[in-house]
Amino acid sequence: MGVTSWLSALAAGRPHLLVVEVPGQAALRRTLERLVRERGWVLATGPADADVLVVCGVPSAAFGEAVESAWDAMAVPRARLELTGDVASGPLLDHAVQQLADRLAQRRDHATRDTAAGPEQPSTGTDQPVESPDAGGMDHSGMTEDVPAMDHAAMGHDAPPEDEAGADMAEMDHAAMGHDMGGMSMELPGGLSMADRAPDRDGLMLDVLHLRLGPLLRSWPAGLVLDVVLQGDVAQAATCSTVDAQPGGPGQGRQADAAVARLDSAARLLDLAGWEAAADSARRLRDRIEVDGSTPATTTDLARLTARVRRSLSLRFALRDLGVLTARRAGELGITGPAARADGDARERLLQWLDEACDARAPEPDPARCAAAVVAALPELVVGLELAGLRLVVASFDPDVACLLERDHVSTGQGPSVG
Amino acid sequence: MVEQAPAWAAVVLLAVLLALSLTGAWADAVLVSGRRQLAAPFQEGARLLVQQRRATPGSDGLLSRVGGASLLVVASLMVAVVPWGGWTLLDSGVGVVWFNAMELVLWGALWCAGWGANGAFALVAGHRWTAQVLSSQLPLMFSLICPALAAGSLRVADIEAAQDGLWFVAIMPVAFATMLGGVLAFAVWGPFSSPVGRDLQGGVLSESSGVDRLVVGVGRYALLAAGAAVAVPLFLGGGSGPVLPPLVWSVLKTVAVLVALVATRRRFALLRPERFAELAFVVVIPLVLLQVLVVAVHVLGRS
Repeated sequence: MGVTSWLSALAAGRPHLLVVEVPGQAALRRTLERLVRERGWVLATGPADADVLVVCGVPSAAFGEAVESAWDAMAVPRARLELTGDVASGPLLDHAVQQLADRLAQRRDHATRDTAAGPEQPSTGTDQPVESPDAGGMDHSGMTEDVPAMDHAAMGHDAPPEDEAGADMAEMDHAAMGHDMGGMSMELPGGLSMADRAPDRDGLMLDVLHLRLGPLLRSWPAGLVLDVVLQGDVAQAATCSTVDAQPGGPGQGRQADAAVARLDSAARLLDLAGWEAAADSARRLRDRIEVDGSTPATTTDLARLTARVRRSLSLRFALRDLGVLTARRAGELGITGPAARADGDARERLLQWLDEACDARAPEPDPARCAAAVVAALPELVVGLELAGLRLVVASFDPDVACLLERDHVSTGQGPSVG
Repeated sequence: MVEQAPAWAAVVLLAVLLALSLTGAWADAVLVSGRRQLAAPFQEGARLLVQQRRATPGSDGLLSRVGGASLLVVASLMVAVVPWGGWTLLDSGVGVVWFNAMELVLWGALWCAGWGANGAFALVAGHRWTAQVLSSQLPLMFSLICPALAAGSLRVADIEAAQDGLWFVAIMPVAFATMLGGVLAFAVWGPFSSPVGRDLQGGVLSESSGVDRLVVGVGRYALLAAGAAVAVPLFLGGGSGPVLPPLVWSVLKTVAVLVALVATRRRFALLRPERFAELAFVVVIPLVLLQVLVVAVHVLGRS
């Protein structure tokens, strides 16, 4: 055990964290990202890459399902931190990470998982936490339900349990793409069934895959869910919906000022486009402005960053002509704000964010209405794009779903639904 | 002038390749966050060693693991033809073709890794890889022709010897740049890393954890190292240099090229495969063909 303990301790020095943002908790997520960066840790690309699951806020039941799926998809050793208050502190985070090196608890986690892994043992799980949750609102043991270690939902194409029709469609298996075995209902290993087929845009019969994007994707707007119908990697149809925070849970995080929010959006788009150096600069600048406010130094750095982004040939090559939205079309769709003023492709919207983060503007007149318009228009904007383009376009609008949900709470007193 | 090394040298060569891979990982850690991250490669390795392996229902574990492990195997076979200070493990008369053939194995390897994982993101990423590799490896093939043409031989040692006095990079800079681009592409690195991109939760790696992921990670560094090691005798004069012995020069040049390759990570936006195809076929291939013409004229003028 000596070597394994030593390796575990070494590994815990640089954990990968999967940070989940519940709508309204953007400030908490930003704080976490700062803490992670200061410690030299890594933000995970997905559940398979993650050691620690950090949930910022209290998710609703539907969102909670997605969080559980991600947790089930994470490999042992793993730890979980649920930030239910409005604070994210370093010690909480460090404590969660220490659990990774706790060989005993992790072995128990592993053992429980093995016994619950068989398909004949559906998610009865073991409702027995390894350790009692801490007072700080933290549940690092978190083994409430251990369904198969080999999790399917984590791949993002699981339908919500309450949606039976959707579940049927989502059953269709992607593994069958390219294989035509004639039948739709043929059972494959793992209890999956074959993919459906439909004519594509050129009239060819191609396999159809129903894929759910969000709410747990890196650099994805919090609370947004996009159900896409894929042929190959091209979206043929899309529907947009939202998932919310727990009603009556902790209040919305403090509203960020416009410069912080825009730098945040820009950082996420740059992150997704793969230009990590610029994304890092944008995040550092965002955190400096959020902590210390705008200073002459940040203004200079922001101008420098904007110039660098504007000059980049590789970014231009990646984003040009992607998700073009003219000012006129934006007006017809009811989209206002930077996206409308940018009057162009994803790169124009990115530059608009950076430009507007520089100068102080009057606050947007009706951000909730704009967010609703963007969410309503997204299906139209992403159809015909392949997955990478689709992700970039969604990130280049970065609709403020929390703002939209809050409005719906106020007006109807219940959960929202967006067509 | 180059001697066939004994068979046990294969073990030494593998150790050298792994040491070069570690150097690459160090360079990456230091370039990202300075000296305090020197332990990062070990921390990451330890993390993946203690981590449970995972699989999706209906996945083809054997296929995806064979695919993932091929990276390191291919890299080892690539460095076999490299001359190190007068010794080479595989003194093949068609060394350049051998390097090219090994690189072709990767076409299937990463696709298998993506297909076998049985996840939507991994599958899309596997196909992304095949699309990208078509655009990146054709220019690489043409760029490899240039030094072979100039030296009049496909043997790597002959090409190294033909650069007496004038390194080939001086007369064929476009071919050199294209080859480095090709190396980045087959190592799925930097601007060519969209098959393992974060927009697909890690692409072909989106369903793998533990030692499976470690093997692919080491394999990618090994491929960068192997590409750098081959580029040195083809374009940078191999072991030639003042004062120091040829072996030291070979290693120094390899490390320098490796660090330059590693440094491209984080500095560019990803080249999206469908757009890169246009760039590759309309701009890069004509340019590198022009380079072949220039080299051919140079050879004719010399004779």
